[in-house]
Amino acid sequence: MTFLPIVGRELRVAARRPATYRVRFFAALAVLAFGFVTLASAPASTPTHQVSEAIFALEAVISFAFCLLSGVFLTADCLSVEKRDGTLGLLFLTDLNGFDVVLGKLAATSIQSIYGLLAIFPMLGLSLLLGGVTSGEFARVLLALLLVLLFSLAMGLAVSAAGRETRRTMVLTFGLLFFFAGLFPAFAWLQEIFLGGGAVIGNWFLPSPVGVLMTAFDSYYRAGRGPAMFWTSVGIFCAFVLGALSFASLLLPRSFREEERELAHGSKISFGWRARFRIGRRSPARRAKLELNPFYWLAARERLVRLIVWVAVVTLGAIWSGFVVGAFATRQSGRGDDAVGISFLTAFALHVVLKGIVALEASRRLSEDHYSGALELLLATPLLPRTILRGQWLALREHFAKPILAVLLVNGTLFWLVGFSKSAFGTDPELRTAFCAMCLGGALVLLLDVRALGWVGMLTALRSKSHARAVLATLGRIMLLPWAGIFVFVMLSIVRQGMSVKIINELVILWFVGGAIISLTAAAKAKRRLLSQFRTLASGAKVKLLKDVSRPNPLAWRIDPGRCV
Amino acid sequence: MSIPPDPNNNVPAVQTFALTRVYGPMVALNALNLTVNRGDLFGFIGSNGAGKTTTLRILATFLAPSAGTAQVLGHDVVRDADAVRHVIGYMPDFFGVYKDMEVTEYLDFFGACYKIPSAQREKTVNDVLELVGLSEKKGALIGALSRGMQQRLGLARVLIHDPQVLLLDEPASGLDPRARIEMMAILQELQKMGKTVIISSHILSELETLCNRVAIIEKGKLIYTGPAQGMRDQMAVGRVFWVKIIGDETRAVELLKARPEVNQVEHTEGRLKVTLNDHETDPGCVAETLVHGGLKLIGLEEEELGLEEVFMRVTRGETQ
Repeated sequence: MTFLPIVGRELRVAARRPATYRVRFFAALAVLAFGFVTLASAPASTPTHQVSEAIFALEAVISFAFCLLSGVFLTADCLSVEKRDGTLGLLFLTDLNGFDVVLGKLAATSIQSIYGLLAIFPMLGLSLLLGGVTSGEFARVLLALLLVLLFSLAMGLAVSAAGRETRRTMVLTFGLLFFFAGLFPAFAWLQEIFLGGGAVIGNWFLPSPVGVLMTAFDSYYRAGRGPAMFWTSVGIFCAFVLGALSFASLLLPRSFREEERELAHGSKISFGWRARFRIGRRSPARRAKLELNPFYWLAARERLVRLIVWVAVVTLGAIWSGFVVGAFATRQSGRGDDAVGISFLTAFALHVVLKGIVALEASRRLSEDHYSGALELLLATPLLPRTILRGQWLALREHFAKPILAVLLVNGTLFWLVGFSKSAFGTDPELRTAFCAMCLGGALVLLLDVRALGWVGMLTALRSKSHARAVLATLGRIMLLPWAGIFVFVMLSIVRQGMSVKIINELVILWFVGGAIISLTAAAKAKRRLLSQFRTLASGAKVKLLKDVSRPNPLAWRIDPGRCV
Repeated sequence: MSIPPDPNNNVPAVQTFALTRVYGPMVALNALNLTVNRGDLFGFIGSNGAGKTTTLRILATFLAPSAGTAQVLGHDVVRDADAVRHVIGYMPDFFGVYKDMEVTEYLDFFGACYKIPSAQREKTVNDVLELVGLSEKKGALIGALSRGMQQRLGLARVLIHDPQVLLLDEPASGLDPRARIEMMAILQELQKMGKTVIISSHILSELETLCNRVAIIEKGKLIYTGPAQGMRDQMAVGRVFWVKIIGDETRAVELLKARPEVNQVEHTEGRLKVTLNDHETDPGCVAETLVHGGLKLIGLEEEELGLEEVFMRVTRGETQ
């Protein structure tokens, strides 16, 4: 008998993939670069052990983000895609059971992230050599990161075992991870701000990935309840991982057989499906959309995305409101400053989540149609690529215009609170300028990023093998460098133990200008490629091939937008 | 956009001139010259990877040729692609349907893509559903339809804008016998309506009876094009006779092999299988040889070669 046959096969397949090695190399390189920048920018007067502590903490935070999001991009769609393709059933025709398949998938999808994490560990170990980090702390942080990675992957697998659609599984996995990693700490902070008590890290943090990481550091671990909290949290996460894997293993042999309920009973379409896809509705507004641009009608007909985006905006908006109210309520105490800081952090999270959903939706329709072949049918009609792109933009505008306005309102409110109100937001006059710049710059960059995410999302949808990869590629191109900039900014402020307001202002402006340039450049490039090479990209042919062959008018197909589109 | 009526009805429905498509080092289509006349029900035959789908995708303007040109009703597929899209109906070898749509919604959507006026669309949708026999499934979810019905829906989509040329890639693949027969009947009906139908298929026996003209393609090259019934003659495939004699069969084989008109003689199951050099050869030479050789001829029966046999003979099953 072969033990876990799928695991062996998947590991062999993963070992042959160049991406497995690339992830490992670039993960280590990124962490090394962050560490080097921090070390180089530290003032000579700062003790080495303090620099080392800061580097260790920030590298751990970067690794934490990498681990936490792995489930969304690596496992959330790994079982559901096989369900959609009908390949899962073939595995269950053999002697394999749910555990074999789930563990095999876990092995296949986790190898990249585990390799990445393994590559990061020696970089984290440099802090151990520099001093300021104890071996116990180092080991605990590694354990916490490994647990967070497994937790994220296991949650993705559990959701994937239950779902069928890429977008739903990705959103649900992200929602679950956000629930544990975001909501629990937010509740803890709200409790501390409104009720006080002196210790934020409490029971709310036990089931949170943030909690298991924070209590791993000496600063928390050596406090009174530190060891008990850390090991309880470790126990809880082990239970979560085992529970999620067991759930997926038990559910999968049943769920793979189930067709979409609606597809199995097509003659009776449920109210839910009718509402979601607006089936059978012949309202004048819908007809007008179809007449205006058929692709607009197609891309906008599903209403699930609106629900997703509004749930995200309302949830994060409510948390943000809580911190804003907390800042007013406790402006006389030191807790008000914390509330101000967290309200800005929550607003930033709101921007990030909104941009993530835009990336998800901008690439979805084209990616799905490209994969199913429906795009080929559309391109055989007189519908021009330019019309398709325009339709997708109209649909994005319909879905996101109001949520974006709501987020801009958050920025506007923060701007007013910082700039004009006498509250905990406006204590330091010099800092007001920096915060006002953040509010205005954030609003501007949001608009530019959404535009860039739209264009790049459509482009990656035609180039990527799956929707999940398209989303990852889109976010990577537009958001990776600005996020890295934020980390560098935070690193510098910690290592330098505070920065002058002038430097903060300069860095904020630099960050926004850099972000705007990236967005504008990426959007322009993607737009140009889409308008000139849409058919080539949709047909799956590489443009390079066209350069190699001689024909009377070889480039006409791809460089003449007027004719192609 | 309205396509001006073609004043010259003599222009073939489809014409390709040295049509070539290269994928990296692989030549999928190698200088293909093909002509399909108006009103033809044209069978496009070839092994997997022979270049059939590539040809159809180029004609459907989805793929650009690497070299050469192709025209549909006189419109160039590259320079005049938009006009081509108005006059063709393309059905690929996969469904590409939106499973979460209703049948009528799907056709209405594609009607809008072809810019059929809203007022006219409902009637058009009903008409094409009637034609393909899906009227009863108007309100059904596409994902809930059987494979055969989805295939019919694909055909209805192709017909929604009343195209003059239909490009159908394996329209009967995966269908059960009844659905296949019904599909073929619909195609004959479409031919009677004056449409040019180009159909690629592996089910050669059906193409033989269905199509008035066929083309065989292998390794991207055209091997044969012409009438389906005359294929054997034009391909110079010799007639085959089954001969039964009383007497020394070994001697009979030797006698027949000595004749220049005879290509091959095999001894199988107590009979001799005699293949003549070409279709024009008089079969009387077989009887004459045997009788003059002193053998008693008790049976001489010609084997009817179907399209499948001819296809197997003229191709070696080589793919890219």
